[in-house]
Amino acid sequence: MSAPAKPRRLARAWRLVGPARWYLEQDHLLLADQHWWTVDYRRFYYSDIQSVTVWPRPRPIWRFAGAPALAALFTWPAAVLFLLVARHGFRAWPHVGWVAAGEAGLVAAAVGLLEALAGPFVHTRIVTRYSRFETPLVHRWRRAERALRVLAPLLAATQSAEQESAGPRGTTPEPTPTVAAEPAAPGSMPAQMTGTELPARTVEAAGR
Amino acid sequence: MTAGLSCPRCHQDVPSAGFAPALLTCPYCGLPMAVLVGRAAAQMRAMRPETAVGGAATCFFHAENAATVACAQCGRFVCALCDLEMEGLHRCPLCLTAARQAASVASLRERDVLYDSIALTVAWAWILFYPTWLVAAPTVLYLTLRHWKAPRHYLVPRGRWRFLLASAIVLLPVLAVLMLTVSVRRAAL
Repeated sequence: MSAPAKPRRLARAWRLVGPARWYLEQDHLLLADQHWWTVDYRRFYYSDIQSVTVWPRPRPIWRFAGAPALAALFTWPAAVLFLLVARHGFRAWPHVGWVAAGEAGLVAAAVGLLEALAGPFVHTRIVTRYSRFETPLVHRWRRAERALRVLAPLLAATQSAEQESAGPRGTTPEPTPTVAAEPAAPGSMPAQMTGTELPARTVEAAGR
Repeated sequence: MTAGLSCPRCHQDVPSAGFAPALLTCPYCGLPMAVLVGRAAAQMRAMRPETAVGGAATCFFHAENAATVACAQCGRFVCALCDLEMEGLHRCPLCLTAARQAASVASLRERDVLYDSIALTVAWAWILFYPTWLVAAPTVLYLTLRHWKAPRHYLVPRGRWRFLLASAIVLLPVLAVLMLTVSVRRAAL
């Protein structure tokens, strides 16, 4: 048995329990949703998708304050050491404390800056004919439009083809009675009768 | 056109155009959104099986419905309602359920167990409490040998580097002990 071909990846969203990866298959969008050591698959067929909505998740303050807080946690012994040693002598030690605190502060600032530049995380809602499903399509808001741009032509091609095969809506011709080439014999039905209109005589007979 | 799109925050209807992805802002609550709207009809497709007339073959599950196709696996006649087409094959509901349980059809597979990830986790986790190496090493080697081909046959195939890395990690102590023994012997000689 040969190994299946790897499908094209559309996007990926990171989470603590494992990434959610989205793949473009021939007729559906495949979600490989990893939860620790298992991966669950879910399929969204292009012909069934009604809408895909991506919106940014509000960023809590700890996304920015977390790194500096963590840095402070690790550097407070150095700061205390600095204060104590500064009061009681050992002139070399204060410099050690400042350098450590400075490095930790720089790292924290860099993490905060990167977080601000990367933008917010997102939520995604996919509405199909049969279900409504919410899970992140992409990791960050800035990648959302690009992912939708890749998905759009596939959706348009599939749904347009389906609509064409089903026939255009609202253009179904109204049933019209066809006039027989020759006049019908009295009391008989016309030879060709399409549509819903019945001859007045038949209606009268039914009324009696 | 209004495509039945609602704002995820305030649940108000948001007008949007179809197919081309658009960046919108909800006119009611101001939430920014990236939206792609399809044209799939809201209602489910109507299934209207034909009624069996005279001596026509009937559906195995619905005696009143005319059979339209035979199941590719068991050969039962099924009506349009029971005809389930998947990967070009027509199956009856029973065969489709069986295929789903056996995960024999790729389009029906719902879950894979990632043995390579399990092996890798076991491989590094023993470092936290190293006497458990005695259990971890055989477990990793067993998983590697037993499921060596598995990552290639996941629905989304993966490489085998996790198995290799896991095996290398658990075999490191063996290598270390061997090197130590050799060096001690050399020193004794």
